Amino acid sequence: MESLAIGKIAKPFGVHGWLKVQSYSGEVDHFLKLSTVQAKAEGRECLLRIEKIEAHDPGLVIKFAGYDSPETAKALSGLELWVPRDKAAACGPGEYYFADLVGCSLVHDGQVVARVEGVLEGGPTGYLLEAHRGSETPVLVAFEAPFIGKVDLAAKTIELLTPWVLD
Amino acid sequence: MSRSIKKGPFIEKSLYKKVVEMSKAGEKRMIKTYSRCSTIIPEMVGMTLSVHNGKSWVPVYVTENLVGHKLGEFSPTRIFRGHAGSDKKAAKR
Repeated sequence: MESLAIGKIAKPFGVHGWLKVQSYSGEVDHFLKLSTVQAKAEGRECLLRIEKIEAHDPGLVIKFAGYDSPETAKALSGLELWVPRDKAAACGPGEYYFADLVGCSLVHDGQVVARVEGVLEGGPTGYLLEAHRGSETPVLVAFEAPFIGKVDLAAKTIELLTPWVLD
Repeated sequence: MSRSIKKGPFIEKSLYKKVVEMSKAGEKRMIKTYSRCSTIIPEMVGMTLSVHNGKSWVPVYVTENLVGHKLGEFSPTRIFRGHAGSDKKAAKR
Protein backbone atom coordinates (compact mmCIF):
# COMPACT_ATOMS: atom_id res chain seq x y z
CA MET A 1 0.00 0.00 0.00
CA GLU A 2 1.49 3.32 -1.10
CA SER A 3 -0.34 5.54 1.39
CA LEU A 4 -1.55 4.84 4.89
CA ALA A 5 -4.33 6.26 7.05
CA ILE A 6 -2.72 7.95 10.03
CA GLY A 7 -5.70 9.39 11.82
CA LYS A 8 -9.23 10.66 11.85
CA ILE A 9 -10.55 14.18 12.28
CA ALA A 10 -12.85 14.45 15.28
CA LYS A 11 -14.84 17.48 16.44
CA PRO A 12 -13.81 21.16 16.38
CA PHE A 13 -11.76 22.50 19.26
CA GLY A 14 -12.02 26.11 20.39
CA VAL A 15 -13.41 29.06 18.43
CA HIS A 16 -10.65 29.55 15.83
CA GLY A 17 -11.26 26.52 13.62
CA TRP A 18 -8.93 24.03 15.27
CA LEU A 19 -9.89 20.37 15.03
CA LYS A 20 -9.15 17.44 17.30
CA VAL A 21 -7.43 14.57 15.52
CA GLN A 22 -7.22 10.97 16.70
CA SER A 23 -3.98 9.20 15.76
CA TYR A 24 -4.49 5.59 14.69
CA SER A 25 -1.01 4.54 15.80
CA GLY A 26 -1.24 6.42 19.11
CA GLU A 27 1.90 8.38 18.18
CA VAL A 28 1.88 12.09 17.33
CA ASP A 29 5.49 12.93 16.40
CA HIS A 30 5.06 12.10 12.71
CA PHE A 31 2.07 14.49 12.51
CA LEU A 32 4.21 17.42 13.65
CA LYS A 33 6.43 17.12 10.52
CA LEU A 34 3.53 17.29 8.04
CA SER A 35 2.66 20.35 5.94
CA THR A 36 -0.11 18.88 3.78
CA VAL A 37 -2.31 15.85 4.16
CA GLN A 38 -4.84 14.02 2.01
CA ALA A 39 -8.30 13.76 3.62
CA LYS A 40 -10.71 11.05 2.49
CA ALA A 41 -14.10 9.64 3.46
CA GLU A 42 -16.97 8.05 1.56
CA GLY A 43 -16.19 9.46 -1.88
CA ARG A 44 -15.03 12.82 -0.52
CA GLU A 45 -11.36 13.61 -1.03
CA CYS A 46 -9.37 16.83 -0.61
CA LEU A 47 -5.85 18.04 0.03
CA LEU A 48 -5.55 20.04 3.26
CA ARG A 49 -2.73 22.41 4.15
CA ILE A 50 -1.75 22.36 7.80
CA GLU A 51 -1.41 25.88 9.24
CA LYS A 52 -0.72 24.99 12.86
CA ILE A 53 -0.45 21.75 14.76
CA GLU A 54 -0.03 20.92 18.43
CA ALA A 55 0.09 17.77 20.51
CA HIS A 56 -2.96 17.70 22.77
CA ASP A 57 -3.40 14.73 25.05
CA PRO A 58 -4.57 12.09 24.07
CA GLY A 59 -4.16 13.03 20.37
CA LEU A 60 -3.46 16.36 18.76
CA VAL A 61 -5.18 19.49 17.46
CA ILE A 62 -4.73 20.84 13.94
CA LYS A 63 -5.65 24.14 12.29
CA PHE A 64 -6.13 23.71 8.54
CA ALA A 65 -5.68 26.68 6.20
CA GLY A 66 -8.99 28.17 5.08
CA TYR A 67 -10.99 26.86 8.02
CA ASP A 68 -11.13 29.69 10.54
CA SER A 69 -14.29 29.04 12.49
CA PRO A 70 -15.69 25.97 14.25
CA GLU A 71 -18.66 26.04 11.85
CA THR A 72 -16.49 25.74 8.71
CA ALA A 73 -14.06 23.33 10.38
CA LYS A 74 -16.93 21.03 11.36
CA ALA A 75 -17.32 20.12 7.67
CA LEU A 76 -14.03 18.21 7.96
CA SER A 77 -15.14 16.09 10.93
CA GLY A 78 -15.07 12.39 10.15
CA LEU A 79 -12.48 12.61 7.37
CA GLU A 80 -9.52 10.26 7.49
CA LEU A 81 -6.02 11.60 7.03
CA TRP A 82 -3.80 9.72 4.55
CA VAL A 83 -0.11 10.26 3.90
CA PRO A 84 2.59 8.50 1.85
CA ARG A 85 4.07 5.49 3.64
CA ASP A 86 7.37 7.27 4.45
CA LYS A 87 5.52 9.98 6.39
CA ALA A 88 3.50 7.58 8.56
CA ALA A 89 4.58 6.49 12.07
CA ALA A 90 7.90 4.69 11.68
CA CYS A 91 8.04 0.95 12.34
CA GLY A 92 10.56 -0.26 14.91
CA PRO A 93 12.40 -3.58 14.69
CA GLY A 94 9.97 -6.49 14.66
CA GLU A 95 7.00 -4.22 14.04
CA TYR A 96 4.69 -4.44 11.04
CA TYR A 97 1.87 -2.22 9.79
CA PHE A 98 -1.58 -3.83 10.00
CA ALA A 99 -1.96 -2.82 6.35
CA ASP A 100 1.04 -4.97 5.38
CA LEU A 101 -0.03 -8.05 7.34
CA VAL A 102 -3.54 -8.10 5.88
CA GLY A 103 -3.51 -10.07 2.64
CA CYS A 104 -0.42 -12.14 3.51
CA SER A 105 -0.50 -15.91 3.16
CA LEU A 106 0.25 -18.20 6.10
CA VAL A 107 2.80 -20.68 4.82
CA HIS A 108 3.98 -23.97 6.33
CA ASP A 109 6.65 -26.09 4.60
CA GLY A 110 6.22 -24.04 1.43
CA GLN A 111 2.47 -24.70 1.29
CA VAL A 112 -0.09 -21.94 1.69
CA VAL A 113 -2.37 -23.04 4.53
CA ALA A 114 -4.44 -19.90 5.13
CA ARG A 115 -4.74 -16.24 4.30
CA VAL A 116 -4.67 -13.33 6.75
CA GLU A 117 -7.86 -11.30 6.36
CA GLY A 118 -7.50 -9.09 9.40
CA VAL A 119 -5.44 -8.17 12.42
CA LEU A 120 -7.32 -7.98 15.68
CA GLU A 121 -6.32 -6.46 18.97
CA GLY A 122 -6.53 -8.85 21.91
CA GLY A 123 -5.09 -12.13 23.08
CA PRO A 124 -2.15 -12.79 25.37
CA THR A 125 0.35 -10.74 23.39
CA GLY A 126 -1.97 -8.08 22.07
CA TYR A 127 -2.50 -9.10 18.44
CA LEU A 128 -4.33 -11.92 16.71
CA LEU A 129 -4.21 -12.78 13.02
CA GLU A 130 -7.57 -13.67 11.51
CA ALA A 131 -6.73 -16.61 9.26
CA HIS A 132 -9.19 -17.76 6.61
CA ARG A 133 -9.14 -21.15 4.90
CA GLY A 134 -11.67 -21.10 2.08
CA SER A 135 -15.22 -20.98 3.34
CA GLU A 136 -14.43 -22.33 6.81
CA THR A 137 -14.87 -20.26 9.97
CA PRO A 138 -11.85 -17.97 10.47
CA VAL A 139 -9.25 -19.08 12.99
CA LEU A 140 -7.43 -16.70 15.30
CA VAL A 141 -3.68 -17.15 15.56
CA ALA A 142 -1.69 -15.23 18.16
CA PHE A 143 1.01 -13.07 16.57
CA GLU A 144 3.79 -14.44 18.77
CA ALA A 145 7.00 -16.39 18.34
CA PRO A 146 5.84 -19.95 19.18
CA PHE A 147 3.31 -19.82 16.33
CA ILE A 148 4.71 -17.34 13.84
CA GLY A 149 8.11 -17.57 12.18
CA LYS A 150 9.58 -15.37 9.49
CA VAL A 151 7.46 -12.53 8.11
CA ASP A 152 8.34 -11.79 4.48
CA LEU A 153 6.44 -8.68 3.40
CA ALA A 154 8.02 -8.63 -0.06
CA ALA A 155 6.67 -12.10 -0.81
CA LYS A 156 3.52 -11.41 1.26
CA THR A 157 4.05 -14.56 3.32
CA ILE A 158 4.07 -15.29 7.04
CA GLU A 159 5.61 -18.55 8.20
CA LEU A 160 3.27 -20.57 10.40
CA LEU A 161 5.34 -22.82 12.67
CA THR A 162 2.45 -24.74 14.17
CA PRO A 163 -0.12 -25.68 11.49
CA TRP A 164 -2.18 -27.57 14.09
CA VAL A 165 -3.45 -24.25 15.51
CA LEU A 166 -5.70 -24.06 12.44
CA ASP A 167 -7.46 -27.37 13.31
CA MET B 1 -13.32 -11.72 48.63
CA SER B 2 -10.48 -13.76 47.16
CA ARG B 3 -10.54 -17.55 46.97
CA SER B 4 -9.48 -19.47 50.07
CA ILE B 5 -5.85 -20.64 49.94
CA LYS B 6 -6.95 -23.90 51.59
CA LYS B 7 -8.88 -24.87 48.43
CA GLY B 8 -6.02 -24.19 46.06
CA PRO B 9 -6.48 -22.80 42.55
CA PHE B 10 -9.53 -23.88 40.59
CA ILE B 11 -8.93 -26.02 37.53
CA GLU B 12 -11.43 -28.15 35.63
CA LYS B 13 -10.78 -31.81 36.53
CA SER B 14 -10.80 -33.05 32.92
CA LEU B 15 -8.40 -30.31 31.87
CA TYR B 16 -6.07 -31.02 34.78
CA LYS B 17 -6.05 -34.71 33.85
CA LYS B 18 -5.08 -33.89 30.25
CA VAL B 19 -2.39 -31.46 31.34
CA VAL B 20 -0.81 -33.94 33.74
CA GLU B 21 -0.92 -36.75 31.16
CA MET B 22 0.64 -34.56 28.49
CA SER B 23 3.23 -33.27 30.90
CA LYS B 24 4.27 -36.83 31.86
CA ALA B 25 4.34 -37.99 28.25
CA GLY B 26 6.27 -34.89 27.18
CA GLU B 27 4.01 -34.50 24.16
CA LYS B 28 3.62 -31.28 22.18
CA ARG B 29 0.04 -31.00 21.05
CA MET B 30 -2.74 -28.55 21.65
CA ILE B 31 -5.42 -29.02 24.31
CA LYS B 32 -8.80 -27.56 23.45
CA THR B 33 -10.89 -26.35 26.36
CA TYR B 34 -14.09 -24.47 27.06
CA SER B 35 -13.01 -23.94 30.67
CA ARG B 36 -12.18 -20.24 30.65
CA CYS B 37 -12.40 -20.07 34.44
CA SER B 38 -9.59 -22.58 35.03
CA THR B 39 -6.45 -21.15 36.56
CA ILE B 40 -3.16 -21.48 34.68
CA ILE B 41 -0.93 -23.74 36.75
CA PRO B 42 2.88 -24.19 36.51
CA GLU B 43 2.44 -27.61 34.84
CA MET B 44 0.93 -25.83 31.83
CA VAL B 45 4.06 -23.76 31.09
CA GLY B 46 5.28 -24.51 27.57
CA MET B 47 1.96 -25.97 26.45
CA THR B 48 -0.48 -24.49 23.97
CA LEU B 49 -4.09 -24.42 25.08
CA SER B 50 -6.85 -23.51 22.68
CA VAL B 51 -9.41 -21.55 24.67
CA HIS B 52 -12.92 -21.01 23.35
CA ASN B 53 -14.16 -17.44 23.25
CA GLY B 54 -17.80 -18.25 22.52
CA LYS B 55 -17.26 -18.26 18.77
CA SER B 56 -13.84 -19.60 17.93
CA TRP B 57 -10.73 -21.05 19.53
CA VAL B 58 -7.81 -18.87 20.47
CA PRO B 59 -4.46 -20.65 20.88
CA VAL B 60 -2.67 -19.52 24.03
CA TYR B 61 0.99 -20.39 24.48
CA VAL B 62 1.53 -20.57 28.24
CA THR B 63 4.59 -18.86 29.64
CA GLU B 64 5.65 -18.37 33.27
CA ASN B 65 4.13 -14.89 33.28
CA LEU B 66 0.65 -16.30 32.74
CA VAL B 67 0.68 -18.61 35.79
CA GLY B 68 -2.02 -17.66 38.27
CA HIS B 69 -4.24 -15.99 35.69
CA LYS B 70 -7.45 -17.52 34.32
CA LEU B 71 -7.43 -19.00 30.80
CA GLY B 72 -10.31 -16.77 29.73
CA GLU B 73 -8.21 -13.66 30.24
CA PHE B 74 -6.23 -14.55 27.12
CA SER B 75 -9.09 -15.43 24.81
CA PRO B 76 -10.96 -12.17 24.22
CA THR B 77 -14.70 -12.38 23.62
CA ARG B 78 -14.98 -8.88 22.21
CA ILE B 79 -12.49 -8.02 19.53
CA PHE B 80 -11.68 -4.64 18.07
CA ARG B 81 -11.05 -4.85 14.38
CA GLY B 82 -8.68 -2.05 13.46
CA HIS B 83 -8.57 -0.05 10.23
CA ALA B 84 -7.00 -2.35 7.63
CA GLY B 85 -5.18 0.51 5.86
CA SER B 86 -3.89 2.35 8.90
CA ASP B 87 -0.35 2.87 10.15
CA LYS B 88 -1.18 0.96 13.31
CA LYS B 89 1.62 -1.46 14.13
CA ALA B 90 1.74 -5.01 15.46
CA ALA B 91 4.91 -6.34 17.04
CA LYS B 92 5.69 -10.05 17.14
CA ARG B 93 6.64 -11.14 20.64
